[in-house]
Amino acid sequence: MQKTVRPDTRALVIDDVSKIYMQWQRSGRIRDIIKNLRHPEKKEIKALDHLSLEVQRGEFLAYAGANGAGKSTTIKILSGILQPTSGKVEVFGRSPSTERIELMKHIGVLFGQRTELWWDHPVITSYQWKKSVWNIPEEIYERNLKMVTELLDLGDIIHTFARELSLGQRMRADLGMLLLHEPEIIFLDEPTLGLDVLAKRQMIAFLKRYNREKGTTIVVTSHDMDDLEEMAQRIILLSNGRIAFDGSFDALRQAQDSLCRINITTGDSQRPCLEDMKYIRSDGNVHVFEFDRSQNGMHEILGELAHVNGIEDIEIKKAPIEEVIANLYLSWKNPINQ
Amino acid sequence: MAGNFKNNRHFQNLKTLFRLLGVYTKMDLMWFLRDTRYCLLQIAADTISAAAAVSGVFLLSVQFGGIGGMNENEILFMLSYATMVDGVFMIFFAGSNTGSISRVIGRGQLDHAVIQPVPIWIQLITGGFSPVSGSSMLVCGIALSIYSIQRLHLNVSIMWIAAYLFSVICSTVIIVSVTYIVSCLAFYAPAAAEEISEVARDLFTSLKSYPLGGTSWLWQTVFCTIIPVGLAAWFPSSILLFQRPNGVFGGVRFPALTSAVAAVVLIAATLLFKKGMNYYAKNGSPRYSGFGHR
Repeated sequence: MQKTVRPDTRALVIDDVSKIYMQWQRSGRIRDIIKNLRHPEKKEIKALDHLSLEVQRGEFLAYAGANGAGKSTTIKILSGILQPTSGKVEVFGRSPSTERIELMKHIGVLFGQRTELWWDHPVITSYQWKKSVWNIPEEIYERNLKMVTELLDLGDIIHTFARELSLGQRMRADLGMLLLHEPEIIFLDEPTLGLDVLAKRQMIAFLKRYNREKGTTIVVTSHDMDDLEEMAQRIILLSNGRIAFDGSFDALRQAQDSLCRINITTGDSQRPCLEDMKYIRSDGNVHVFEFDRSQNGMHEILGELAHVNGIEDIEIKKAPIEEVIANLYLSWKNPINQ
Repeated sequence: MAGNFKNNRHFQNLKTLFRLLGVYTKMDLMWFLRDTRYCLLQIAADTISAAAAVSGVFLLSVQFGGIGGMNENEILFMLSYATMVDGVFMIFFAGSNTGSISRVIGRGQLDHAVIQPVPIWIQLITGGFSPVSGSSMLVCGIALSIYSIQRLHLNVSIMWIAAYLFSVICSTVIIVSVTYIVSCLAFYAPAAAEEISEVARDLFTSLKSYPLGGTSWLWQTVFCTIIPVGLAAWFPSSILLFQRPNGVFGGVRFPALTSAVAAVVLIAATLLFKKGMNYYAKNGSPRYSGFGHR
């Protein structure tokens, strides 16, 4: 496709963006019928609250947050589907709401829970449809078709109806279609949702390779932190429509560095009694505890363990990223209890 | 000058329009070639439906020697005109729910349209184009029109044919526009109004095949303006048959009324749809927001 995007622009800029939804509140009581008709009670939901961020060209950004944090709303605003209530959004220097048609030639959007494939046609027909709608030159189409067929292993499913594909196959086919017009930025909203381990591995490997080789900017949302960590260099964590964290995964770990896990292997299945540590679970003779290094020094932990009989092995490691994030979500949700 | 013209937005849109009509023709033909049995079944069902739609009123007119100020041959011509209008509607709006747009709006499927680098109006005109699988009604309409014209011994000229085709297009525009106007409710009540397009179309399907010549001038006025079902078949047929309808439109000559109402409802539909799209962009579809899926 002809590149008309200015090379010096940042991939995307979100400047002080807020998005407010109104939710109707229904009581379901007879006495509220008139009130519901005349002045229905509405609740204001701030999906995005003065959000500001920038993404550079070629970046692979993980965009995470709990349910309702504002991830999908951001993707929809960046794709021109929704308009922000206030603030400014630019993708390659263009406004998604006013320059939608030109911008759509340069971006690709994939919603994991939906498909862009034609349901009652073979995958290849959807690809040919895309070629016409996006007006992709023959040479570029053929080159990209060959590339996605090889890299996403689409050979066996390209002549199969979309409705007959498994979820993993459908996601691969959808991703292949997304890339036919060589988008310069890709928005993926939960692309690994519902995929099995193998399909997930394939998709992650492909996205990493595509980002590395083509320099395409990728913004991906997911609830699976391990997947995000494997794919992206930078993570933005949203909480209540605001950025709660923006940085690398290492920096995120450091932010919660004090949280450690200890696996204690004992001679029998009886769980050791440890006062300074929080018991997590047992798996046979292996007992998992958690402790906070900021509250209990390592020497105190080791001292306590020294008094326990029957310990055969000890393994101390940092808490999994999923646990770190879960704790963060929990602390944002219940700040008083923390 | 030529270069400027080629870069002109309207020229580009026209090119896109025809390119997309081409791709949807190909997709429809491929469906016919691939699933011939199902496609033939659909064509057969549409043909039976077309026959059923005209037979009731025609048999009534035969029984009573004409109804609503029209004799049986004129009734047959009006019914063939109605079938032609349905045929054009089927060819352009039968596929992809573009004729039942409230489903697309209510289900939050406009998102798919917004992420395509093509104006929405082009997508709506081309997205349902089914010249193969949706052609049966039009073929029936053409056959019935020729038969009824022969029975009426009409003096058919080029101008008359042009007027006939123009009337059919205007009537189709009226049906589509009214359907879209009503369907815009789905922007504001996506769950409750998801099927409202069908209700709007049913209004035309059930009423347009009745001649309104026997009704009072008040009803004729209502059915030719506010609820323009009379413009979907009866009024333009009367004009094409060189009849002067009763009532306030007795002096009106084609194409004034049908084309004027078509223009008005088309403009209204465009404005209301744009307004609805703005509402959609501001509020999204509640059924697909992050606060709960369907």
